Amino acid sequence: MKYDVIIGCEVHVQLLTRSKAFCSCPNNFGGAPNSRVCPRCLGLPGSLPVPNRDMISSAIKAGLALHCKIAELTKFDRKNYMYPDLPKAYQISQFDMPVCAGGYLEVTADGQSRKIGIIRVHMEEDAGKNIHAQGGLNMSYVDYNRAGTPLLEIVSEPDIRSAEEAVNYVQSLREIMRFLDVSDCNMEEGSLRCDANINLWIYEDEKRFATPIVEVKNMNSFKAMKSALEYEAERQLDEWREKHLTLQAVGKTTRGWNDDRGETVLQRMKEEAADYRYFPEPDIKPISISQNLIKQIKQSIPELPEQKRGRFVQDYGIAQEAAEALTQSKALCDYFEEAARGYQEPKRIANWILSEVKKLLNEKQMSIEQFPVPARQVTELLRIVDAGTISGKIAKDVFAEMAASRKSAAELVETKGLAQISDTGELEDVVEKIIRENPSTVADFKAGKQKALQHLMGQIMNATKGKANPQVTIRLIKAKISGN
Amino acid sequence: MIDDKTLQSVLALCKFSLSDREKEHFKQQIGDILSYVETLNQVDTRSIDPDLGKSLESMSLRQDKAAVGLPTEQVAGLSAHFQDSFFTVPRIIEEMDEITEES
Repeated sequence: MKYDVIIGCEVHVQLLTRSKAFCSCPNNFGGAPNSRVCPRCLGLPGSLPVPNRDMISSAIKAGLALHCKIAELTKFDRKNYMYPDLPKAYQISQFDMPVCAGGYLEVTADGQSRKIGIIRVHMEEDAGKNIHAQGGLNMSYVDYNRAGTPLLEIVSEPDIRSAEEAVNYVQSLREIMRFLDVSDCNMEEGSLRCDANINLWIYEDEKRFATPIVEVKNMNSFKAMKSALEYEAERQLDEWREKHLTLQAVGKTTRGWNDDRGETVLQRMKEEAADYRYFPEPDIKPISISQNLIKQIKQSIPELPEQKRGRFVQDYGIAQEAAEALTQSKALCDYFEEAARGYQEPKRIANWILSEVKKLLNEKQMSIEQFPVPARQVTELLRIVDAGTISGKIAKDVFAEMAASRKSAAELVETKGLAQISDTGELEDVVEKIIRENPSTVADFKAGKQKALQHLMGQIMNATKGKANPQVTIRLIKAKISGN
Repeated sequence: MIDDKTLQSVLALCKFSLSDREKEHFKQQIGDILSYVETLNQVDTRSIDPDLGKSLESMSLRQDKAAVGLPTEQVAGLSAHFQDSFFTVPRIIEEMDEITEES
């Protein structure tokens, strides 16, 4: 059966402003419950919201990076619903005049790059958190620290055609938001949340049928997102085969992803019908955005991942995959460029960062920002290797030591006596000794077995604790054996 | 007069319930209020600019500066239902909460 998977994503990102969206309570994560609240975010009568300037500029920044048109005039609206985590019984959001609209994001999946349309980007305030009492207590607890913190909602066109593409779309979005320093987009901590609308277009009897749209919620990681959307596409296909239900007949439903059971489960909605009775927020005047402001914000947009990747491949001659791995974070890009500055083989720097630096970051569970070895020290270490002072293998140990002791490469090589033995006189004794002790290996080598040479090398490395200069050693072995 | 279906959905949204007699009464009353407000539709507003806002610069926006909110004692005093730094509400029982329990 021929069919297409149709997916659209709604992504919420928490903005990294210092204060909340409409009051000056701090916008942080964690802390004692209800310790960052005031009459405004608690919705006490008589308090009035005042929009945060940085929330608006962050929204414009995000919109520009997503190729959106920025509204000349934007306004806030009230979205009404009753739920304990929403103290005012309405959320200040944007309805018909969002701050940004009509953009796109270039996404690669299956080796193919496609433009995914962005319908809109709008600002809204977050709700508080409900915590449900354990042990049969008949109450729920509410913490309003998060209530009123600023969010961006980014809505895509239903342009996504696979679970993989959906994940890549959200990952690209995350990269961009991080590069812009607009949000830290941590899915596990909830600073990036994604819901997806998914259905199938089934081609049968030369007609196209749309299956009922399902909004999938509770996808708390990229892995969960991929599994949930793959599962849901399969489920809809099975349902179609069994019942032939169409979008027109059923409409839209909501299902939550249950990670433990590996399936989506039908959910009841908070409101029976999505009747949010939107109306313009009377406490906040519409906001007009000047071309001058847009120009200013445009100038503050840094080079974005896509452009950086192109430049890294072009200017530094590194592979596309390496460029992709490096552009996962702006700090990693900066580290690479700092280390590669003035070094003749930037490719080696990239490889070193992607293998050795990444390995240590994983081991120590830290981010590149917290990494104790300055970028220029990577350059220094590789220069020491280039000069033949230490081998590449020793360099890896030295690097781990640099991260642990915060000492420089040169200092460690010096104080630990790690410099390679390149002095022929010093090496000759060792080589002669090993040749004497391994007559059968020497015979093998003479018979043309290359493995025998490696065996002898290994013995010499053991004897010198890895400090023998490999090139010098090989030359000596060959000379000694043929001289015998 | 509004119809039963409209009244029912308004009641659901307000979390109200009414007796059958009250329903008839309010269907009439809400209908009257709505038709009274409808009078406003007779005013021709096509020539009026809905843009009440001026530029972002002149609009009273707030600098992004954080300030300490209410002290906990004061927050606690706002509600009779406050326990261990949390506001308490009757248990929210919904199928979706079982799955999407917020942490």
